[in-house]
Amino acid sequence: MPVAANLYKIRQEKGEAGDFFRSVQRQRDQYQGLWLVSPEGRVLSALHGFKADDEAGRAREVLESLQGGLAAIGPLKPQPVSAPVALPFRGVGRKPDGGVTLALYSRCMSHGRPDGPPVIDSLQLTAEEFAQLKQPAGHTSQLPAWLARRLVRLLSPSSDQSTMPRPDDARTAELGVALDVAGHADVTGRIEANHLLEGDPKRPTSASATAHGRIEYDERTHLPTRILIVFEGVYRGAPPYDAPRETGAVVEWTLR
Amino acid sequence: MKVLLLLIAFATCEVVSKPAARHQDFAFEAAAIKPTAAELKWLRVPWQLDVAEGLRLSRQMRRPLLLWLTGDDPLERC
Repeated sequence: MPVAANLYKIRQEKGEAGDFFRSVQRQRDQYQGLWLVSPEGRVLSALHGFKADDEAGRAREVLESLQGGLAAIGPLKPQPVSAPVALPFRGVGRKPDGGVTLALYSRCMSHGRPDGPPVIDSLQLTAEEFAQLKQPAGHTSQLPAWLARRLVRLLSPSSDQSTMPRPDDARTAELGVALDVAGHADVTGRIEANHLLEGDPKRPTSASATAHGRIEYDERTHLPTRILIVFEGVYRGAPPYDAPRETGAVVEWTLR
Repeated sequence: MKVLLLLIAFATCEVVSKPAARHQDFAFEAAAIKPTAAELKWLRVPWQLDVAEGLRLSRQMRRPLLLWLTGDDPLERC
């Protein structure tokens, strides 16, 4: 039974889930990672950190850890496991409360081709925030500044949140909207940010990107039905990793 | 007259197909950046996000529980 959870949230849980986590951590103390646990609550194996540098080597280490743990409880027949779609509204649809989840991706690129693992990210918009993305009354307009500022997170091609620019890090955050034909608009703009790695002034990072994309609107409600924006940029890590790296990022969402 | 009607029909097609074509252009660019199916394989694991529910199912099915904890939401940016 595969379960994925946020360490900081489960730590604070007072009920059975929190007790289970504390029991598991007492048996095998590690900050984060994988634990294989019997139905009775006994830790069978655990993994935190890798010896291998490559993906195949790390996959092997995970398998060896799991197989070692399973050996302790004897053979198991494969059995289909079903679970609800983990993130059903990511990039699609309206949540029951009317909010939406924009799907975000970013990564290093090289001459227009992927050059490193992707970052999988999301941006939650409340129903009120989504309503502010309505089709502009005039031919041209701007997407709300708060949205452009929140999108500076896309400038980092690393999944590690310590590298991720925050809205307050934005130097430039402008996304313009120009109606093309009824219900369709072009998006163009630019975002730039400076971010201190882990708040350390000796470790500044900087990044910028230009944006272009499309928004389609519902002809009755004038709310977006489809959003697709592509960013092309440059990222400079903290010294000595401050050589410019080509980056790419995507924001997408569709009503259905 | 027929030529005029043909010209109008052609112009209308251009207007109707242009937005769709532009969206396709961006979709093509986006596809070069977005994760490939191979890079998203780990998301095909039927992850249960509710630890209590996962524990309940593990006990009900008499099968071990694989607990994956990270310092952020594991299925998103860490």
